Amino acid sequence: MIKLIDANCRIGTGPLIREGSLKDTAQILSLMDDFNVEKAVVYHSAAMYSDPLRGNGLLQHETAGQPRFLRQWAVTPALWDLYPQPEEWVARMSKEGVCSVRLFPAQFGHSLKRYAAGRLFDALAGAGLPAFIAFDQLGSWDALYDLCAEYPANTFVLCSPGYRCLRWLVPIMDACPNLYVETSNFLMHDGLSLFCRHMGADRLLFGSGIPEASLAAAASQLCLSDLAEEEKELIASGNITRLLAEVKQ
Amino acid sequence: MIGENVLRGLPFPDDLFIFDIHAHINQTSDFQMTHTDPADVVRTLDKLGVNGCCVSSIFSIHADCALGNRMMLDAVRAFPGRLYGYVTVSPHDNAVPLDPFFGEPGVLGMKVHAAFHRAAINDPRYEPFFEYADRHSLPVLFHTWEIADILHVAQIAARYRSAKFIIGHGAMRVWEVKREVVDAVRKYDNVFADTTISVAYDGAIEDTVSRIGADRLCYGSDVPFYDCRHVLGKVATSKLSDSNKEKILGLNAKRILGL
Repeated sequence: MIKLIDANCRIGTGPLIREGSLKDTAQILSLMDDFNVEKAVVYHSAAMYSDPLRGNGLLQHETAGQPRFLRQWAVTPALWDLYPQPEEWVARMSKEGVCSVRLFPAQFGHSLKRYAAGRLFDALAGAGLPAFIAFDQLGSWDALYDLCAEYPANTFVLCSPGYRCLRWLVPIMDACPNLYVETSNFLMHDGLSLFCRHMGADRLLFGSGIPEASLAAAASQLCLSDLAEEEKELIASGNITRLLAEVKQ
Repeated sequence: MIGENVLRGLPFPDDLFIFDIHAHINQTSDFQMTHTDPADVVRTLDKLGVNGCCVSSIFSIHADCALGNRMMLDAVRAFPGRLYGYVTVSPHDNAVPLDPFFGEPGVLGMKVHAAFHRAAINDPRYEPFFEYADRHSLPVLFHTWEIADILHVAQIAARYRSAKFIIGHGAMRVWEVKREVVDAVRKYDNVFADTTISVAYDGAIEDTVSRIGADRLCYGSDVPFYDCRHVLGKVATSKLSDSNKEKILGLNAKRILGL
C-alpha cells in the first residue's frame, strides 16, 4: 500500500456546517492512519479566517509534539508594525520548525505584486520556503502566471485547481518551472495519467483538501489511477519530500 | 471487505455489482474535458470493475437536445449491457415523442438539467415529461444544486407518485442543502439521491445514511464530466457496512432503474 504525504490539510473549525465531519486533530490523525498517510502539511482555520498571527500560534499549540503534522504558516506582506517584517517572520518560522507558507491574498485583501509583497517573497526564496496558494485566492489564472513569473526564485504550489483548469494551467506550467500543483479536486477524467503522460510526474503533490474535501476521495483518485507505481510514489510523497528538503532550517 | 482493494489500486471484484446511476458522454466547450467518448467511459468501467452506467449526452444538455439524444442512443446501441441511457428532456421542446426512445433496449429514464435549459425544475413546460414518466413508472434524474431545486423535486414527487425521482448531487452536500434532501427523501418514497459530487468532506456519506438509511442512495459519479474514482473510492472505503455499500454501489440502482 502506497505511503502518502498530504500536502493540503487544514485544522480548526471553518464557517460551513459539515455534519459528521472531522472535529479535531485526533480524528484527522485517525483518518490519516486509515489511508496510510504518514504526514500532512497543515495550516489553521483561524489563520485563514481570523488573524494569521493568532492562527499560526494556535497551529503551533495544537500540533505540539506531533511530528506527523508539517506546519504551514499563513503570511502577509508587512504593514507598519501590525505584522512582522518578512525577515523576522522567516526567522520565526525557522525557529518553530515551519516548512512552508500559505498565501491568502483574496481572504486577507492584499496585492502579490512586487511593490507590495516583493520583500516577503525575497525572504521566502532566501529560506527555500515554498508558498502554497489555493486557486480561489488568486482571482484569475493570469494572476497565477504573474505571480510565478514575477518571482522566479520562489517555489509555488497551486492547491485545489479544480477539474476545469487544463486550458489555463498547462501553458502556465510550461512557462513557469517554479509552479507545482496539489491534486485535491484535480479531477479530470483519467486526468492524473493524462497529465503525467504529457507533463511528467515531478510537479504534482498529493493533497486532500480536508476538511472541505475528502482524504478518502483523494487517496482513491491517486491509488485507482492508471499511473505507473513510480509515478504514484512521486505524487504520493516523493515530490513534496524533495521540495521540503530544500527548506533551510 | 468492500474497499480493501482501493488503496492497493486494484479493481473491484467481479462478484460485487456496481452501477453508476449518473454518468455522461460527450464534451462541453466551456472547459477541457478529457476522455469523453463512450468507448473511453466503458474503458474506465472495465479498469475499475464497474458493471455499467446510465448516461446522458452532455451535448444534449449544453447545446442541441435532439442531436445529443441521438448520440446517447448510438452509445447505448454500441455498448449494450454496459451503457444505458437517459433521454435529456428540454422545456423548449416538450412535444418531442418519447415512445421511440423508450422502445429502445437500454434507454431507462429521463434527465432534467433545468439550469442549462434556462428554466426552473418546476417549470410547467416539464409536466408532459413528468406525466409520461408517471404513466410508465420511469426514473427521472435531476441535476440539482440550489436549495430551491430540491424543494421543486419534492413538489413534483408529491404530484407524480409512480415515477421515481433522483436528486442528482444530493447525497453529500453541506448541511444547508442536505437537510432539504433528507426531508424530501423521508417524505416521499419515490425520491432518491445520488452521490455525484466533485468535493465532499470525509464523513458525508456516513452522515447521510444515518439520516435516511442506505436504501435510497445510489452511487453516481458524473464521469466523464470529471473522474469517477474519487467518489467510487469514497463510498467503498467509507465506514458503512458492506451490506449498505452493496446497496449504494449497485443494488439500489438495479431496483430503481429496473435493470
